[in-house]
Amino acid sequence: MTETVKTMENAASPRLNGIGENAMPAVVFYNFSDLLGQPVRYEDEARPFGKLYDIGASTYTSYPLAISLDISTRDGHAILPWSAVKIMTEKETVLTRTSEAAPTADFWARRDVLDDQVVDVSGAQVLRVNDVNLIYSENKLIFGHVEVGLRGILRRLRFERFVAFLAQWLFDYTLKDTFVTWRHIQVMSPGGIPGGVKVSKISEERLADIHPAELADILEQLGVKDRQVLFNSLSVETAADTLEEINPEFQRTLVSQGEPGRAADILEEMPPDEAADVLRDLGPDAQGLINHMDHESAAEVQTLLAHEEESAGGVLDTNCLESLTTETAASIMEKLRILPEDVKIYNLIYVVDENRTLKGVISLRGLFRAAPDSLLGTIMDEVLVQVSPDTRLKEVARDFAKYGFQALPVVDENGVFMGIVRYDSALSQLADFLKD
Amino acid sequence: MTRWKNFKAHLALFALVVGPGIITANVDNDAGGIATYSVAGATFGYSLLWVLAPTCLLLVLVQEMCSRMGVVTGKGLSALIRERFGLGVSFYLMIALFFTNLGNVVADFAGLAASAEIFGLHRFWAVPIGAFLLWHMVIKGSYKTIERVFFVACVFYVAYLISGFLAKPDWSTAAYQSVVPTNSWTGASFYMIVGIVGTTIAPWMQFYQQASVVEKGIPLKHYRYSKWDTIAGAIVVTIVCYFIVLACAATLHKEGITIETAGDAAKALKPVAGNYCAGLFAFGLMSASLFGAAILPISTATSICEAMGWERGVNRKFTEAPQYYSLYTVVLFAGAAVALAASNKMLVPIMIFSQVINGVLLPVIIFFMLKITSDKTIMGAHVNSRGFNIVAWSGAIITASISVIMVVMTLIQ
Repeated sequence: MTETVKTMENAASPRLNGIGENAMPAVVFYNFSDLLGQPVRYEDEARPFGKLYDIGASTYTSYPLAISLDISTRDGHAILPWSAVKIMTEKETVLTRTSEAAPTADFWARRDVLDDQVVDVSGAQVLRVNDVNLIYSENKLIFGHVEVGLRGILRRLRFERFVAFLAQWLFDYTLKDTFVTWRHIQVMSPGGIPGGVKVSKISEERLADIHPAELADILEQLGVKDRQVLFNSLSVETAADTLEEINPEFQRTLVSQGEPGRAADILEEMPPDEAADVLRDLGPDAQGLINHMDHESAAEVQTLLAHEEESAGGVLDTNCLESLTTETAASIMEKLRILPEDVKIYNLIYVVDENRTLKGVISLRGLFRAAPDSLLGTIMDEVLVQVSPDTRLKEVARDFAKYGFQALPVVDENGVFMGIVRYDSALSQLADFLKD
Repeated sequence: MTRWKNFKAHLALFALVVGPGIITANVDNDAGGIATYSVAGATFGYSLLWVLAPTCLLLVLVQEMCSRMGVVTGKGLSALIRERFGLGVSFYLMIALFFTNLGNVVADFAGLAASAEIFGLHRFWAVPIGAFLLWHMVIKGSYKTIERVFFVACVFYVAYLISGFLAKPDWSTAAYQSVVPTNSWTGASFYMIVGIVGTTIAPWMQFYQQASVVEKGIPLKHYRYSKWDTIAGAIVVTIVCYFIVLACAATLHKEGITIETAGDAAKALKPVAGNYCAGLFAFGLMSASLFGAAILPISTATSICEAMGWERGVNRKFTEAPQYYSLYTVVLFAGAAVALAASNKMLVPIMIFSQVINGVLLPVIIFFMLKITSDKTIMGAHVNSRGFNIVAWSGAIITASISVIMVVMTLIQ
């Protein structure tokens, strides 16, 4: 578990003894599940008129504040403002009469949090909420933690004391609470309404810090709507990195159900072969998205789509460094220095003539050793292995296994350099050869 | 030309979503299924065939709701039950599901034991080896490959189709009794009816199919193809069980043989395999048993972990998902242990009893599903139509009533 999930023994222990208003301690901890179903009455009446059904909160502050109450009465549900609360205990809630209307809550604890999934943006995990810990102080009710551990489950099933006793008696083990502080909690779509709760600023910042692979893991665990909302809240760059990592089955849904303009931006941001993979899975819907992409990316992706998936042409990467035979070693070194980040550098640089015919390769080591003013044409090595766009990926993988290169050049039937195949594109096929 | 193109486009989209329905339906014919259908045919002849058509209809309705919930929400059935009905309800439902599924695993190992005995292999060897292999397979993550092997082994059911024809059944009686109930209404026949419904629409299937749909990430706009998948699966399953009952009725029932061990049930394949019928039957029963025993413990662990909010999935390490692996292991080995402890004569009754328990839990699960699929906040525009609800509710109520009558009659006797 990450550092945010702290176990706090007995944090929920201070209980209210007397119900007299004066005996009220300054701060009391409540478990939301204990408050549910407790009677609610007006201060001038002895008989309760309903039961506490839900508590609505505002996320304006970093720890949400209760702002409204949902009380189930014999005639249906009454929604009242928190300001009507005179005192709230685990036994009952006493209200003063008010004519104020209840403010609109950002989320409701029972409907949207209890038993539902929330995202812990600090620990980068999806949690199912077993209980909510509330802090009652100066007649304000603050959402402090969510309880996600076994103890919360046991408490709600009313086995807590029994199991705690058994654990202590048999194994000398003290049951612990597992809390996550509300600062790290992002509530997902309330009432199933996508976008109903905006992803908070804190969450957004923290989400950007999470590794794309972990983000993908979070998204995979969420329901369809929540997944889309969270995915839409990511920046285009993060979304592209995350999409690469996510289960291919979910890729097509995320892309096809999002807004097409944004989806196209995300695809442009991805390596073209990955983008082509996503588009291939979309079937007939792909063309619409390609139309939204910028000209260059669209052309690149379409070239890839024209080839079969399991061929070198289908995973072609045109985003690589190539140089002319007439360039000097020094000029290539300079090119390397200012190379954009999305162009990966492999050990070999491909040297072409003015017709883009592949003439040779030069290794980084060779480049460093060469005199700065030497022409590439004179210091390059011959091309050991090259593949055509129609070469099956299985063949490509065999070449990778045999030669140990990180990338292979792809040339067309006229010897014109088209781009490279990265070893990771052939990884699935490569595994077969590595086993031997 | 354009029509052909359209057809190809539809086929391509169908290929994207096909799987969950058909696979679930085929696992459905596991050891418990084969035993129940065989005994139904051997004991009651053609007279219970009428149960199959309405069961098939209910199967389509129930499984369709699952895949619809899966596509619309992207969540498993137990997660939806937890969110809609809270912890308490889900907890007790999961306990019921645990024991019901455990019963099915026991049945599958009983099937493995019975088929091994036909091959002359003592179950003292077959059951522990089978259990350990399955356990190892899931831990090593080669489960998907094995799933395909078992799936191919399902062609075994074709043997029942051929046998059903070769046995020259009394077609006119069979056709009449497929539509009109003529059976006597005794405790035994109620027990059998609940068993047939319970094995055809087993509760684990709803959780399993919904999970598969979620895992497949089927987009909402392609949902209608998913519906075909469900319907195709249900029809295949019904045809298979129709012919198992038919073949058993035309052979065993005619000759007055009652099924006491799996060896008796094998004789239904005599018309197609002659003296090799025992071997053929044992092969089919063994692969069906292993298929069921592979999927049920995984499905059980997944459903429970999802309801309780525990990490799950075979792609997680043991330390990341301890509850998942513990549940999986307990269900698998407890199931094997019970099948090992039972006597030879007990194996077939155990297989049928587990399916009767399925039938008792089924209406409860359908009740929760109907509540969820009628909830606009969960399903949006994809809530059940009025007509759908009327048919499905009647189905659930009838199933529940039959179960209650069955329990009462069993208690009286």
